[in-house]
Amino acid sequence: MTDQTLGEVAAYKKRIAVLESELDEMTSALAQAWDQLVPFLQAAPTQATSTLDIVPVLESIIAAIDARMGAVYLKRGDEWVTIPLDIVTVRDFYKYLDELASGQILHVHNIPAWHGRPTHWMFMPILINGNVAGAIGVGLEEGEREFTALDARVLTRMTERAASQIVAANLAESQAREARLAREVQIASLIQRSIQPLTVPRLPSVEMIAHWMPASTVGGDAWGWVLQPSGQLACFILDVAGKGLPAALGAVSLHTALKMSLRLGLNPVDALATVNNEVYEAYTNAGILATATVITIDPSSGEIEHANAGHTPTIVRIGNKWSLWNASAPPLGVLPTIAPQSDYRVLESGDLLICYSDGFSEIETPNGFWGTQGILNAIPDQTTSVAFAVQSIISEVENFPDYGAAADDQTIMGLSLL
Amino acid sequence: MELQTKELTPQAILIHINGRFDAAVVEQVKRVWIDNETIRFVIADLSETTFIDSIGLATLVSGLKSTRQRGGELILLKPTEPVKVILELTRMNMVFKIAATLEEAETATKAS
Repeated sequence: MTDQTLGEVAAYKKRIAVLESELDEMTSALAQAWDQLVPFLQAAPTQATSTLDIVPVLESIIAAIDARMGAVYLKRGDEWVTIPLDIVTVRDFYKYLDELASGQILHVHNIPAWHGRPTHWMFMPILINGNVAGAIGVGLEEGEREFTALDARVLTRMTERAASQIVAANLAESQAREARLAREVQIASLIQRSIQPLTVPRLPSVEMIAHWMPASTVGGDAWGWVLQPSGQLACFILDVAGKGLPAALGAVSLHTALKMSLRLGLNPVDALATVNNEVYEAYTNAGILATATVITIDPSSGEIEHANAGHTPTIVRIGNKWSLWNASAPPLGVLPTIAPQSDYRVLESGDLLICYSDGFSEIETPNGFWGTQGILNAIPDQTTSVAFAVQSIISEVENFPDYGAAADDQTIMGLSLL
Repeated sequence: MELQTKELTPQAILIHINGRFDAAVVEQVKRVWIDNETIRFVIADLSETTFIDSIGLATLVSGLKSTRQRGGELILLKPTEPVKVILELTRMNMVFKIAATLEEAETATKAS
């Protein structure tokens, strides 16, 4: 062999050695990738039904990248949730939503983790229709190694692989949560209905009627009555500001408190003042308030006592004269103490007294709110039956074009002496 | 509803509530002052508020309590007639300080 040939052979051998070395490295990398991929594929659920199914996926991603920590961020309604909780606060994650909308991996430094030490993270967004629906993040403590291009590629591929399962799990959990909430609302509705009186008191000299209709499954209105130890009939109407479960919860507790205080014999003023003291702090914390009117009537004499805390005016017709008994104190829960004033009258046969919630007076008509005047106009002039008067009001409301889509709860209660 | 805010001082804001003040806008209003703990004085300009419902009233009460807890005050400025009627009917006029002019409202914040 010539020197030239020998040189070429040596070069080929050297080239072969390099190729063998690269092949070894590729085999090793392939084995490593396989080691990472197998547990990931095993962990990734084909049909995730709960975000709990996501945890093994996350763990295998953390292992594959050799990260210290990781978290899945998911949008649920208007809120963001993390799995597991509180690895990186949701508030911190919010900051990066705009950048993540690009669909690209994002590296972020100096994020305080649950242990208080600074960490750096790599987030890969999950996009649906161009919007960030979630993200998978992996983190290392500051001062440890930086994430490599290979780490980024692994995170990208694994996120792409797991995205549909994660979104499905989130959707399944959202649906389960909605179903749970619907059941809870149903239970709340049953409780609320159970505290509304099924009947009016059967007293020989008093006619009473009431109508209660929440705007949705539950509501903030309620009414009730109780016979006091003195033999007086006590009745009340209340309206907790708001709608849905919070208002219903407030209405149920206020109903119970008012009924108890009246059952113990308190007069309307003391009942309202006492209950206000009890609910003030809770209402302050919850940011709610409630209006209420309480009335007692002596069935034998017709003497009535009335107190109104922030509620709509009570309509009273004594003889042929109509009058409005307005609130004499702010609603319950507004001030630590209230001192409502009493209205006293003696009802005669044929006199009427009607209390209603703002769900009636704030009905929107083509001419503006229906108002107290609208309610007054709906009562036939010469009627002496409070049941007929109240039914006339309800009939007029039912004839409104938008009846059935009431914006607010509607409660009305009437009293007259036979 | 349209909500406009103007910073009067670092601790005081003027909010202008235009249109209906009801459940649809409560969260927006709350974010302006209730959730911002640096705000101690709020002047709520109701001169173009066409209606306020019980949830709007509850929001004002929450704002009043929040500002007073911070040593401040909430003052209602020039409520329209429909709003004034509701404040009177519910006796909430006993609860809020009501000013007829911005100068009067600003003076009231300084006096608090």
